[in-house]
Amino acid sequence: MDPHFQHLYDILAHSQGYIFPNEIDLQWGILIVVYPFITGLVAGAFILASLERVFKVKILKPTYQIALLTALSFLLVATMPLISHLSQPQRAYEIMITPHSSSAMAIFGFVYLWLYYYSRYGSTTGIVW
Amino acid sequence: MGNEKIRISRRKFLKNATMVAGAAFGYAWLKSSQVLLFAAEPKDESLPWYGIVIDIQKCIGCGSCAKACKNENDVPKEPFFFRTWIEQYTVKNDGSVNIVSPNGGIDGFVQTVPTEEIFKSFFVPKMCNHCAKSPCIQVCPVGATYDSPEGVVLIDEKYCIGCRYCVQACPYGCRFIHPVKKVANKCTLCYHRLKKGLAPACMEVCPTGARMYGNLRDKNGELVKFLKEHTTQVLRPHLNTGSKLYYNALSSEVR
Repeated sequence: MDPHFQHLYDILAHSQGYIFPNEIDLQWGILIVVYPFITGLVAGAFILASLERVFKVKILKPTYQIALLTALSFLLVATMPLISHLSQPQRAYEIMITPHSSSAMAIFGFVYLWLYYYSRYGSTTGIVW
Repeated sequence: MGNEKIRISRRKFLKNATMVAGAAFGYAWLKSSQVLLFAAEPKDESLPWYGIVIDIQKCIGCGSCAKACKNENDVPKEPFFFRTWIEQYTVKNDGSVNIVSPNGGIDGFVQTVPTEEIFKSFFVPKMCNHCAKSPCIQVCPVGATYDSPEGVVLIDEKYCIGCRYCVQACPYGCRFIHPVKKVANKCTLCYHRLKKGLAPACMEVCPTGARMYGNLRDKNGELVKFLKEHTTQVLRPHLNTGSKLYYNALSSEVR
């Protein structure tokens, strides 16, 4: 028995009922959960900062800088769990340069591009997409 | 004044350019989304359009097919990686269903349910359904998995990024991540053998002829003849996957 597969044998021994043999190995595990956790931190910290600047909640003034810095630093590592979850991370750029447009995963990258474009130019040109 | 003119024309230019780009992008999106709406249709009429038939009444659960597949296609021998496997269904008298597939059925089966409790029991060989509207093709973010002109769903191993989306998407559990190659892997209907006019390994070794493949376009062929003469069903038809794997005598307990 290959020790590399020991955890799968353990799951197999403890699983109740029947699952397809190929599905004993859980494919989207902890890293996929960490990603929305980090983006949640980014969004939360950013909203905290915006409360002070946009909505003039003066009591939050001391948190403004640290909240924005928190958002920025977590934003920089937000994609790391996703990239390291790929088993061929060196090909990750293929999603951006040869996207398959019926795939939700590929289109999600374009949602980011649209958000970037909109936040950069959208308000000056009045272009929505 | 001059500044104003330039500003307007630049705005117009940007607007037009964005509209053209948007239209092109929208067309590309719709074009590739047609996999959701229509079955993949073969472009080259001279090529066969493969379908598979599995006759449950003929399967004896020997496991030769799963063993042959692993040997032919270098699938790891651990019981977590199968391109094809066999399930033993046992319907008990109280209506409950016992499903087992020890090592994919390669080592054969032992009936663990006492005989007096058994209502009926049968084997169901499973493999890729080679769907015409494959969920796995739809979700691949780079298009590494594709329909061959013969309707066989294949993977480009040099292109797959290993995101595992397709493994999650397949409703039949037919895909896995190859632990050595680190890319998605699945049944190819032994495409390398088909191209040489040979039968897929699992069908070659099946001692009872429970597995058949053939050209769905050949209306006088053996496969179409079988489909004509038998009442066949695909797995999970409500998912609208356009499955081309037809089961004869499929019981409603099978999932």
